[in-house]
Amino acid sequence: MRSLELAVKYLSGLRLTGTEAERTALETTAPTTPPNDSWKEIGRFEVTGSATNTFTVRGLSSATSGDMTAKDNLMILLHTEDSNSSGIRARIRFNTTSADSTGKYSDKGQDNGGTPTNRSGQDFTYFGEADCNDQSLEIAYVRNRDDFPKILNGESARTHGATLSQHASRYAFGAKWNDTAQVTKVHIQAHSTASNTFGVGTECVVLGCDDDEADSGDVFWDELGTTTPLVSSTSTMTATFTGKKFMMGYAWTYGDGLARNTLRINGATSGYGDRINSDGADGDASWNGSLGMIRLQGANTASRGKFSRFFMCKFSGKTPLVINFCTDDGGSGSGTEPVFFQSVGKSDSTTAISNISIYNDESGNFGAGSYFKIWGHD
Amino acid sequence: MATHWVLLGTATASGSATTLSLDFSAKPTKSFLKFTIQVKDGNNGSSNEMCYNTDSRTGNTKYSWVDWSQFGTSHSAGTGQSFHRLSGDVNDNAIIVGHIININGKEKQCMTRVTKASDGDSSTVSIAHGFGTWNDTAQITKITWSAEGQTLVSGGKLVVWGADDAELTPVYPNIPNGAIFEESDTGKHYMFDGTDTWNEMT
Repeated sequence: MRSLELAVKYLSGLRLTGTEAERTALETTAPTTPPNDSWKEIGRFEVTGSATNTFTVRGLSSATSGDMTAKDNLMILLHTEDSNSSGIRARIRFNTTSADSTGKYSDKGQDNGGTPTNRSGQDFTYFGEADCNDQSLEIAYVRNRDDFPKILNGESARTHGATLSQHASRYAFGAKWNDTAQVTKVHIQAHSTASNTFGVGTECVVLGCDDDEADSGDVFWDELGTTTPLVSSTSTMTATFTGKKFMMGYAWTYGDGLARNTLRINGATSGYGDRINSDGADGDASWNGSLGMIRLQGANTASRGKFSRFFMCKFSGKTPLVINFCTDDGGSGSGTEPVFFQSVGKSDSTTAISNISIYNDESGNFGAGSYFKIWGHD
Repeated sequence: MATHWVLLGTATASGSATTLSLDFSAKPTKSFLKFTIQVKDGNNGSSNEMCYNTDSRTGNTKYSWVDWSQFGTSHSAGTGQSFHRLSGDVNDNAIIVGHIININGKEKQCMTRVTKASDGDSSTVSIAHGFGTWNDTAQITKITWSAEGQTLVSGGKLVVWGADDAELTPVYPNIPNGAIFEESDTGKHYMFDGTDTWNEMT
């Protein structure tokens, strides 16, 4: 705009002169800041100093007193690190600061696509089915109205170490806390004995959003990177950004020839492993620790739309962990059934993330309209 | 400019209607949508459904879907439907968390995870996953939730969020009201109204 402005001559007496194009070019566009009316951070606890068997998220900045602001919708993001390789698994309780016995929790979970486990009348719910000896990522949505029991669902990823021979596992779950009180504290305890401890670096962030959330403060899920919808076909869509601790990505692609959605980090062409479930199969495929990408989809298809939604974490000194859902439209038109995939994956690199690519490892390309965007926050 | 997720709106079931629509057409369209449905106990064992840009669950037959209940031990499917199914039968309190891809000019795809729980401390928790496609290129600006024609229980809620690139809005020149632009190539003269319009002087 500046160069065009300079072409316009400003005359005396509120007069200007220039061409028609120069006059219309005086009107430009600028991005508008969207309202801050969605998910905001209402609680955070970071384990610092020494390992601990238990902690409570009850406000911002690792608060040790008070309550979180009550919100109608919660999103709990948890990253755990094992302090001594003794194995950790998060037990979750609400509105208490210590282990108590209420018998108000019931849940159902499925580990690596296997036979689901049901529990009822428990004193806590789990965000994972088994211990991990390295790190984990847990994400849970909680409906948190006071006219409703607390029902939640979510997913988690865990791994036993940084190398690709140390596999990652995934867990999908639903749970209920039979109480109408709004959640204002999240108490987290390592499963089993007091010797199982969360190490320094373990961190839990609780996000909240009312059904009529006001436009104020700062929202959590900031856009980190994006592509623009493809105009011409390509095999790779790359978003460049500064990586964060917690990230959430949405990718949509359309197969121009055989294609499937996979993910690469920092452009690396090797050093990945994953475990994938195709269309609700009874049990995931075995862990594959020698891949050139993390698969978000198990099968290649042509001329189909594919929608992937994933969460990932990248903490200092740790490898990235990815937990993913993906659906393929099943074929053109409205006469075909969609299919779906669930996967967990990681890379073996502890380097900070500077870009993520949605990559097609098959013979075709991603076609016009394919689009990838990622949001995140430390 | 980096942008972020925004709240597109909330709708609440009154207890007297068989559909609940949330119209967010007044807000900028979004390529990425996320939603939560709170299903209140007493839904009479019906499936939860969703359709777009209409208040009715009949008519448009561009939907196909798969509903996987209980972590994939069984599933049902529909093609050429007027809605897509989010869950199997629900007669308990439940939540549905969903994600929709809503790119202009492309088909729309949706994925959901559903948790329902029976009453009491020792309740049975069930899980379902739903996947749907709407074979329409229009962007979604209205979501309608229904349950096989059953009256939606009072207090049920539909909440929708969205994200996209930052909206671009016009920026007009900082020129005072009454300023005159003399076009050298057309010979026309325009007067600025001080806000956003050049009016040709005749």
